[in-house]
Amino acid sequence: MDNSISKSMAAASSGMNVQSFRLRIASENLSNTDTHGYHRKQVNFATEMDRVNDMARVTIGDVSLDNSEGAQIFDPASPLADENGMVMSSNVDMMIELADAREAGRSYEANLSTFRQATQMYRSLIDLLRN
Amino acid sequence: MMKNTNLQNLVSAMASHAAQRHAVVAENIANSDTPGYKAKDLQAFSEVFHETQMGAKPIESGQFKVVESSMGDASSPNGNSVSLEEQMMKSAETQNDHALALMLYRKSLSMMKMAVGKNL
Repeated sequence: MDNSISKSMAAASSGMNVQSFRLRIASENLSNTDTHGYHRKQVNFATEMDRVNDMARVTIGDVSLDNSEGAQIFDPASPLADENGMVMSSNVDMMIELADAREAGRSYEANLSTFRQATQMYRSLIDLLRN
Repeated sequence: MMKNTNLQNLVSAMASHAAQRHAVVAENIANSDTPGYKAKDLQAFSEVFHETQMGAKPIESGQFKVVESSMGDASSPNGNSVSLEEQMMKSAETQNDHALALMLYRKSLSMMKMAVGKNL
C-alpha cells in the first residue's frame, strides 16, 4: 500500500492547519472591529510541492493588509482625531469576517472527515492481519 | 491455485488504487481555497484494467496516472476548480472501493483456507 494513506493524512492535516490559521485571522479582525485605524488582515493560500512525498500540500502564502479606507466618524475625544474631530474607524466588515470564519470552519470539517476516512482505511487494512 | 493468486494480485491493485485516489482527493480538499488550483483525479481502475488486457498482465500499483478532473465544473473567480461537495462524494466512493477490495481479499483467503483444510 506504499505511502498513499499517509499521503492523504498529510494533505488533510496541512489543510486543517491552514484553515485554523484563517479562522484565527478572522477572529483577530472581528475582535478589532472597533479599533480606530485598524486595517483588516487577509490570508492568502498557496500550494507547496512536497517533493519527498510527491504531493501538493497547502500552505499560508502571506498575510497582507487590506489598505482600503475605513469610514470617517466624529469622535473628538480620541487621541487619533484630526483638527475637525474626525477619526478613521477600522475597515472591518463584520459580515465578511463572519462569512470567512464560517467558510474556514466548513473547509476544516471537510479536511477532518478525509483524515478520518484515511484512518478508517488504515485500520481496516490492519484488521486484515488480525484474523 | 494460480487463479487465486491472480485474484489476489488484482484485489491488492484495487486497494492500492483506492488509497492513491483517496490521497489525490485529500489534496484537492486541502487546496479547495487555493487560488489557481486545478482539481485532479486518478485514472479509473477499469481503464487500467483494460490496458493490461483484462488483467492478463499484473497491474503495478505505480502505473495509475494522475489526470485533470473531468467533472471539474466552472472555476470560481480565483481560478480554483475544486467543488467541495463533489470531492466529498469521491472520497466516500474511494473508501467504499477500498473496503470492497479488502473484503474480496479476505474472502479469497478464506476460500484458500477452506481448500487447504482446517487442520493445516
